[in-house]
Amino acid sequence: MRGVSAALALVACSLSACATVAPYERERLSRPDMTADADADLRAGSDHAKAYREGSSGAVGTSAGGCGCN
Amino acid sequence: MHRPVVHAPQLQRHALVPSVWLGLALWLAAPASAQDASTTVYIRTDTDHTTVVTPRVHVGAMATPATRVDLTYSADVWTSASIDIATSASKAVTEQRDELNVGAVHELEDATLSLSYRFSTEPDYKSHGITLGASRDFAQKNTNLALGASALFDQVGRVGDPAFSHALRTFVLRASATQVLDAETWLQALYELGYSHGYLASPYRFIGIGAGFPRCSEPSAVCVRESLPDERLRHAFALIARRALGERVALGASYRFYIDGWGVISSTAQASVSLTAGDATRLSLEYRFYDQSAARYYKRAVPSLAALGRHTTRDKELSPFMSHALMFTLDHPIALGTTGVLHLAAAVGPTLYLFRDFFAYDRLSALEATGSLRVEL
Repeated sequence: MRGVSAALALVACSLSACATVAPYERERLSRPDMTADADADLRAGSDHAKAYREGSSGAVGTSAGGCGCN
Repeated sequence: MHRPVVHAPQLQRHALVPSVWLGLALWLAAPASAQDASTTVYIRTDTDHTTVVTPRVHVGAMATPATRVDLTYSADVWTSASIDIATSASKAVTEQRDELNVGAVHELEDATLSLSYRFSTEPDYKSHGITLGASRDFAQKNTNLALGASALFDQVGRVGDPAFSHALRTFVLRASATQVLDAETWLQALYELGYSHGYLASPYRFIGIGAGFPRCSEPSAVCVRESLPDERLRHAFALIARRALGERVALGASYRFYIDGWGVISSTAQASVSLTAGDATRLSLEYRFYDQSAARYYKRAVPSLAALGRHTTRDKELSPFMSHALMFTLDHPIALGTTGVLHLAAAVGPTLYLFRDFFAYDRLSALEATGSLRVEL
């Protein structure tokens, strides 16, 4: 567990070396069109259809279960 | 799964009524702040004679100042006379899958904990899934690390064959790191490891032996059941980036690399541009490219029993193919009083699949459309 914590801290420190953007500078980052899950409800059906029509899945898109072999 | 069950009007009533009332009751029972609810209908139709209609209801509310609860119900109602149906000697099929998802997210000072449970049911397939997640912010919220784990417990059946019942277990681990690069850009790296053990073939798919691709719904002298290994290990890596250009434009890009123990290797690339008008109406255009290699068990044809391997499938989703997809999205917000917002949203787009080694056709086109109403209070 200590090893995992150290690794996470190392990754975080490495990444944070990129930049430090203060909260008051994040106006554009907090816009609706900049969020990672914008339109999640709108995309759910399409993501599900793709997941079951392709031989690969994971990391991005849906992880819904059941067969759904439509 | 494919089976000859046809009760479309009853299915659609069954899908919609309980979900609407359940969602409405939960939403009204929640505190009158930070609530949102949406109802969505997704429709897909393709040149392989398959139509899918998916109504979806989602409600979310803050149960406590730090805990958000979400409930989602959806149903896949689909009708198909596709090549998969035709080669299993079935007539057109209509069936339904219902899915309920309950989740909670608890915010701590610099961390978030999440828990969700999902139940999915169709006449020959049941699935229970639980997902745990944790994330933590670092460096004044410029960095976020997240870990998640899911366990899915599925039971695969076969209509008309009560003795057919096989288990499928899937375990997934995922990790992501998100970094703010500057005041306009963020970058996210994701990795997902999945392991499935159990029945991974289709109980309805048969391999016709010889020329002419014989149709069959039971094993015979010219037909054997599809057979696939009972284990599959998957790795998926992804990079996602998003950048704001000025006050009204945002660009997005992502790439995913996938490899698994069955020999499937795929690449998925996406690019999007979003434009926000003066009244906050948002228009987006997205392009998605997908390409995959064949699973090592895939065979376009099996000329004789001698050519049949220990594991063989003719599933086009395990064949080599690529696809190109476009999606146009519109989101128009309308103010409700002083704090509420009603979002009218729609998405529409075509997809073209190009198959390199499938016996029935070399291309398939599909059209997807989604309409959504979402209220935020």
